[in-house]
Amino acid sequence: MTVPSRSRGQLTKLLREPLVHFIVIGAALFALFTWFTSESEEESRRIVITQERLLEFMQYRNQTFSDSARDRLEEMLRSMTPAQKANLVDEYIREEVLHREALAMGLDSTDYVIRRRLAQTMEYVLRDSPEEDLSAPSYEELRQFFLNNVQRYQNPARATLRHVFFDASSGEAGAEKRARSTLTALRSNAIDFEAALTRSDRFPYFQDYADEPRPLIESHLGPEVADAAFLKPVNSEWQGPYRSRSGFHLIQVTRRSSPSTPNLESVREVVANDLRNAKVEERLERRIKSLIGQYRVESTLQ
Amino acid sequence: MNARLITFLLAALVWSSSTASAQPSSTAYSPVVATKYPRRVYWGDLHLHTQCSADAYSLGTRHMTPADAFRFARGEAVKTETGQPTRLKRPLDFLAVTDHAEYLGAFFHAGKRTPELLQTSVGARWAGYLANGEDRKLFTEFADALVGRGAREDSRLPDFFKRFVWRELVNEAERFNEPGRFTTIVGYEWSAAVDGNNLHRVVLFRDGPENTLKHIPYSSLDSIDPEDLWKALEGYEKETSGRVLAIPHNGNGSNGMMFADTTIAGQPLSTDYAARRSRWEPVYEVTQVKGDGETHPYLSPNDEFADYERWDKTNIGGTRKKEPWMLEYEYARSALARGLAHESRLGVNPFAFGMIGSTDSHIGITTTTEDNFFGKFVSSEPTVNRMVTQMAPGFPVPGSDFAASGLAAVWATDNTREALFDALTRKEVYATTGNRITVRLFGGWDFSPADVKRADYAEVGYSKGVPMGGTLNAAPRSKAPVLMITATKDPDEANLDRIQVIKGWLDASGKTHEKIYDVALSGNRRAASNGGKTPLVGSTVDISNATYSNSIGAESLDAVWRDPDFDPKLRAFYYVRVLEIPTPRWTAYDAKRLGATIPSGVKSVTVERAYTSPIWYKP
Repeated sequence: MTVPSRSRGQLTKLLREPLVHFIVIGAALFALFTWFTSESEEESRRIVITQERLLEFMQYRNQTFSDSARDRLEEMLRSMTPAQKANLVDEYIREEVLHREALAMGLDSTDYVIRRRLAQTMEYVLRDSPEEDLSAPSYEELRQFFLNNVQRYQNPARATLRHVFFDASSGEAGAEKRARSTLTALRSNAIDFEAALTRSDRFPYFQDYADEPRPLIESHLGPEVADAAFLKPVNSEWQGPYRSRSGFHLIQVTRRSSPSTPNLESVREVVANDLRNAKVEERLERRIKSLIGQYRVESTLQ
Repeated sequence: MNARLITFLLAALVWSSSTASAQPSSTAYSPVVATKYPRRVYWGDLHLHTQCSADAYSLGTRHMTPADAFRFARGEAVKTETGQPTRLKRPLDFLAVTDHAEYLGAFFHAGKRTPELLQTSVGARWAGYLANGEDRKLFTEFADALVGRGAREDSRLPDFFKRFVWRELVNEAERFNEPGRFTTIVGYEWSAAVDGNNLHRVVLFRDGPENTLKHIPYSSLDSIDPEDLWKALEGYEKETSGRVLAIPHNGNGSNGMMFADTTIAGQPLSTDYAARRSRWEPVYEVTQVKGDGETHPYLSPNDEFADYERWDKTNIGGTRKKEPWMLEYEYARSALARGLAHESRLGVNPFAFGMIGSTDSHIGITTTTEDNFFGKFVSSEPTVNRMVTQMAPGFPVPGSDFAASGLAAVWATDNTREALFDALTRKEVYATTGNRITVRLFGGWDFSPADVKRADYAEVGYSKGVPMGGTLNAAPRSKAPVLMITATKDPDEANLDRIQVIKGWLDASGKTHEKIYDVALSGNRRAASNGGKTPLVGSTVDISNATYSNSIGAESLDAVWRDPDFDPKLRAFYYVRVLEIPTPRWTAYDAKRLGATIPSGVKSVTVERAYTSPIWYKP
């Protein structure tokens, strides 16, 4: 972790400041406002301080717009000493003037980063809101969500196997021949697994794969072995040889589990968490859609 | 959830009864259960922060919970704080969420206006800052706490609140712990700094809630002296019969204090100090997002791969510039060598540590591959300007200095808290800078070149020698240490360039030395001798397209290497460094995908690597 030494005024740092976000949002709102009202020059240099403005100011700084947060801020504003309030007003004026000047210079529209940041901040604002309806879903609601997204909670198929490996880097034919003769010996019980190992080569990854999902087995042993491990019947017979990137493999699959669906109870908290996230996302999209609906889009595309 | 808890308790019970006899069951039918030694390596991150860390929260990590961290690590797709969807190529096997103990969870609860916090005066003050948009003040208060300045009465949180937060964190870890499949380790970070010099330690527990809930995270507000932290950990073990350890990190931000010759109190290191340090701190986090800590070009001028992800401008607080004399006391390689010197004087080596990597990410997600790097704070999540964005207010380190690093690799008998913790204490662990390079190292006196080719080479390794983290004692007559090494690429990443052995030793006059041996090379290259340079592997990196090809390098390398310069009278250590072929650095992916400009002097090609824990030789 870090401790700040001294602040340095750099644009990049500035762009991450909530204060800057506020100014830029303010500038954008102001731009809209002036567009529709076409004030006089004199009017545009007038700053009106109202209780409502200050409250908004605090809301933007806090980036919370819920009713409960508003009540809280209102209470805070009421209980301020005159000095504290004067201080707040000073800060408001300072920012208001700076943002109007920034707007006059066109700073809001000349920089794509600011535009992008504004859009992101707006999304943030839209996402944040009271969670009263999100915190405690009904069982039925949970169940429905679970069923609709059941593939997300599936336990993948897993296999347990061990293998004997023959390195092909010093000769394809020799390695395959050794693999075949070892397979014959294993199948006739002339040798056991330990003895087979002494006839084989070091494998770069694991010797045993205990209850592993297909992607891991395939990344180590290649698709041929993975197919054999997951598609053929499980009967503890030694099978092969199968080719991988590195050589030939004899495998013995001792167990395999099919993909399965857990019952809701065992994943309930995960599902509840996902449901909450999904609702937040859904609400966000709804809000953005309704905003888009308030615009008339004209296109010159063919 | 209850079912999961019961499964865990049963597993713990079965485990403890099987270790009580100190012998794995020999009656198991399944051959893969009856394992006497670690058969595979497990991958994870032992240092990760979420919204519950005070700095993370005040710098914008508002939504990323420990649950998000666990879900991401076990392979689920998660949206980051800035709303970007992300996922790992492969799940991790384990994760420790280790939020800062200083004001643990407090800023998050101030933002949430949790009554338990707001009824305290300090909590009410913080909630006020947040309500007024004065997040900077929060960050400053946290920064003050790290150097102990926040220890004034009105900044202390009552124990009941600390317990309240700790219970939440422990419960979250329990909820996601699935022994055998995905292990969560309970922990936190003690984040002390002396005069802005980093002394941070991650604290990790072997235990479940029945023990960990009796603890209250020890913070720099309690003390900024690591010896006091050890006392607190000792107290925990006495009270609970549990097990706990501490892992230091970022010596590069300590301005010479991490591996200093003196204690914080200014005393020369004593035998007692050395014993306690090696007891509580068996491993060091050698690589992470704030730079790599293996060695430095100033310390290792003959190491052509030493200049890797350097952070060497100031201490962690940015309050004092780095001076060359400090480096020797900051980096792992020189510290391992200094440990030999201390040992010859004290009889105990205070710096006999193994090595791991972890991320220290503060956004709740562990991303360590160059092509999937999400930075340290919210400000360094992928954006077109993150390379030139400062790390934190007032801290003039550009985002381009961040390293997409690292991971902890653990050779354990099982993926459980107990097995992983035990591997850490015996140092059968190693570090990578983010890719899953498999490395195995054994040291002995009698390995033959054929041994490493055997399918059961690990069995041979354990029966004829010691694994990484072990010690070889008094050399038999006319024998020299032989290292048996295997290394295999990450199946999803780049091929390997070479295996190197790094040897450090203490000569008869008490001077420390280091030497690097290229012991396995891909392709048809031969190692240079007598100070020459081994030919480079070449490069397939196309920077503008951020691509490389595995047309050079090797999937797997091995070596059986006998120390040609061995002197049986001199203390020594050996560790292995494995290098990948050159690949695009995350900055190249940013340029390609986001259209970002790479500032001049910023690297766009990297060489990923692994560092094993050492094997020591004691005369």
